[in-house]
Amino acid sequence: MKLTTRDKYHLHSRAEFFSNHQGLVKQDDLDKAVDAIFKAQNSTDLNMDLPKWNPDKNKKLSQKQKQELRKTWRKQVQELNYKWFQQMLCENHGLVEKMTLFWHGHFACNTKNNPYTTIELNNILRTNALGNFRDLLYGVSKSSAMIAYLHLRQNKKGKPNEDFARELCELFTLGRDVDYTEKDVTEIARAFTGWTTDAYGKHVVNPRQHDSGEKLIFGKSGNFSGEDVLEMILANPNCAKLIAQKVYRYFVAEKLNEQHVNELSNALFSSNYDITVMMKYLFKAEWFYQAQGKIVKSPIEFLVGIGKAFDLKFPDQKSHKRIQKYLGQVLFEPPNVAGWPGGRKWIDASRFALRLRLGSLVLNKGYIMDELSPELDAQISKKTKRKDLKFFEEVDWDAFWKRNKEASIFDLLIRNENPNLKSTYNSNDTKTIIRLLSTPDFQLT
Amino acid sequence: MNRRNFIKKAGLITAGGLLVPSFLRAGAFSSQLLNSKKRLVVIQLSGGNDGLNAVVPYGLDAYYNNRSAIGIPAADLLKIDDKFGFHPQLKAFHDLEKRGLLSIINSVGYPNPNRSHFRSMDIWHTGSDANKYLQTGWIGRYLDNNCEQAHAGIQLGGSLSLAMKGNDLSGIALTNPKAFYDSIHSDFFDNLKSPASENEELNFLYKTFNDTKNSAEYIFDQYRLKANPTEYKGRLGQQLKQIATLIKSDIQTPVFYTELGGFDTHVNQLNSQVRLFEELNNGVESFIADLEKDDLLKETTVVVFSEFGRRLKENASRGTDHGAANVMFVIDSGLTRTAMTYNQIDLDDLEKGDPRYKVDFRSVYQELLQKTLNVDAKAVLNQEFKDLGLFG
Repeated sequence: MKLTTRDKYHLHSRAEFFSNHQGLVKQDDLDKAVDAIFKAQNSTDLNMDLPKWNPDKNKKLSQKQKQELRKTWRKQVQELNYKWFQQMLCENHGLVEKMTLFWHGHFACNTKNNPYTTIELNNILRTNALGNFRDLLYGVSKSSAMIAYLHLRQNKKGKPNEDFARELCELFTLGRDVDYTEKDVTEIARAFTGWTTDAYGKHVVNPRQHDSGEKLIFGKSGNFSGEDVLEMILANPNCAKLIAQKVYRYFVAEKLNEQHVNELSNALFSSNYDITVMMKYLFKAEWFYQAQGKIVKSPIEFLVGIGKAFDLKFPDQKSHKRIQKYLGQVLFEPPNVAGWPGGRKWIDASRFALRLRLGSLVLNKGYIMDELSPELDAQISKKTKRKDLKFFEEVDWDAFWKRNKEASIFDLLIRNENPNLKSTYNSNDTKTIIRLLSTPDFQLT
Repeated sequence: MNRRNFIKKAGLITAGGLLVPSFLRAGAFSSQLLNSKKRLVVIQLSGGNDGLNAVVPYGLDAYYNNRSAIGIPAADLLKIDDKFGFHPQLKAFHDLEKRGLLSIINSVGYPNPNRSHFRSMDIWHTGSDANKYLQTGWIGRYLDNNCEQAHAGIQLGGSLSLAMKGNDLSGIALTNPKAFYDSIHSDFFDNLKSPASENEELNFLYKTFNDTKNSAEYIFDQYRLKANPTEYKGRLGQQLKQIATLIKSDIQTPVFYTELGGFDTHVNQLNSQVRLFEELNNGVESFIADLEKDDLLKETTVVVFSEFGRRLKENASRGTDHGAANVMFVIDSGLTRTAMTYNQIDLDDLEKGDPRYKVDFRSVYQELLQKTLNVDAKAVLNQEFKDLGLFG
């Protein structure tokens, strides 16, 4: 299959948030183009200068010092949020970062209070983002972030806590009530008893808390460990199927196509869980190109998309986090272990109104074409005067037009078909850009 | 014609008749349009309100034994009976209680309480069990089952609470009806035409776009029907004033939602609580008086909740840490006398240092759904809970 220019915009948008015309993959052959994008990817770990983890010192802190420390930590996580977002904007990092974001929603864990576990988990997700799902699952299950979040530390011999066992089956691998029972959850919890971390966050199994008795799991009895359970789950093709379904909804279309999901699921399972094999299969499938403009952008996709298009700097950390909050997706703060529901759930009346205005707010002080009413102007300027709400950015338009001199602005920005809109807004100028950013169509990718 | 079709048609009439002033529209609020007996106004106290210092069990030794620094002296309290008294700032609540318009429901919570703000608020918003995760709120599911338009649920404030999110229909959050109207009405937006498309996501967006425009216009039209000269104090007061103004316009909105934050009183609680309760008290006092002026209290139920209460024992910073069961308030003109029987607390029956819950919060939701909103509660809550008999 030969890619058209619109196909290329689509491929880049889905795979790495956005590409300007200049950055489009040069190859027209589908297979070659996809391989080229994968080959160009770089990956950079998330990092920041933190004092070396010192559990002995932290223990000795006074109540007040502990409070101060917690405050510092929360600030540091906010900084990490910002750093991660900046990484998403980097050229040739898009696919790795988008996959990392996908796994962040899948292995959802709220780490807003701890920069150490934030970095730990985020890098596990990134390192394995396009690697092997088995490694990813092991890495997450043994991370101090997840061990704390799903109460594995409280899961002790004789007093099992089922939180991790339940979410492992329901959300991370098999799917709700697929091939497991309540009884399995109870028994799986026993297999994971004793899983904890040492004072330095390293995973250990505490032999005194581990229940080494016989368990009956998935119809088999044995003296199963936690790792045995992970292997039993991975041996079930329905685990690959759940991942395929979620990947499909995230990268292809909101509405599942059973046949296409099975193809993805087979690619993952038969490659022994090689995520790259599945993702290349997806981007090389002709049906992927039939699904243009069929996904509602997540807030992060929306923001990274305009960031990459207009080379935005998002200079103010606090405002940036606030936009994420208003739009309903704050990095490191998924609503619960089920992650962000996504799709149409991103849109409610209030957020929609903001999303429709956001492009004009960032690029043009709120103006789309007409004058603002005094009330709206007051509300916008009241908000934008606030230190924590600096939206507006000066765009280097010359540079923008240089990046996109051969592009049709409509094709560059709008992923779905809408002939009427296209005929109304078909000129290549900044006014058209502001207007297209303010359409319902621009919410789609 | 079945009810849903009727509502659809009626909805169209409303959309077409937006310019008809409300006094020309037939019937009072309790028109069958929304099938609701009354409007529900939810006030969320975010951060974990210390119920033990709001309705103080001064008759119990355990209270003063555990709160030597922040216990409120009996002499300062507004007495309810020989065991309980209100925090001195909660004068309006005290008056409402004396007039039989307030129900104090104490020890409200749920099994296996979660002490994270975040998680516990989710549980209260969705009405789920502590070990389940739901993506929709309890009011959202009410909207799904019973309403057609987003303005059926209006939240005053920046972002929409999970409580107000349904699968098919969610409420609207706004800070100012005029600015909200302007944000989505302009020549540009008015000229955007829905495309004839087979792309379901695109169609969903344009439908939501048009619905939002209609709702924004409707809310703003209602809001400016009649000026409301009543003075309200404080930020919560300003939000309640906007709600009262909309209620007076006979807006077809069965649920309003608003929030007051700052209740996470780990440090120097006494000072911050005075400030918080003053704001809550002033807001509620003006709101109730304003509604009574137009005889609208009989069509309104107010409920006040928080995601959890606080620990019985004070901490070392003259504050309190996250707890579990807590007090809830329901204000309504149709409460039974038995409503007070729910003001009970047992400070000797503790679970990890907190008074154990006696009333499931969903029992209260169940009554609000049945008695205020007049719908099948089980369709919203998916379970049945103990009947409290709050309403006559």
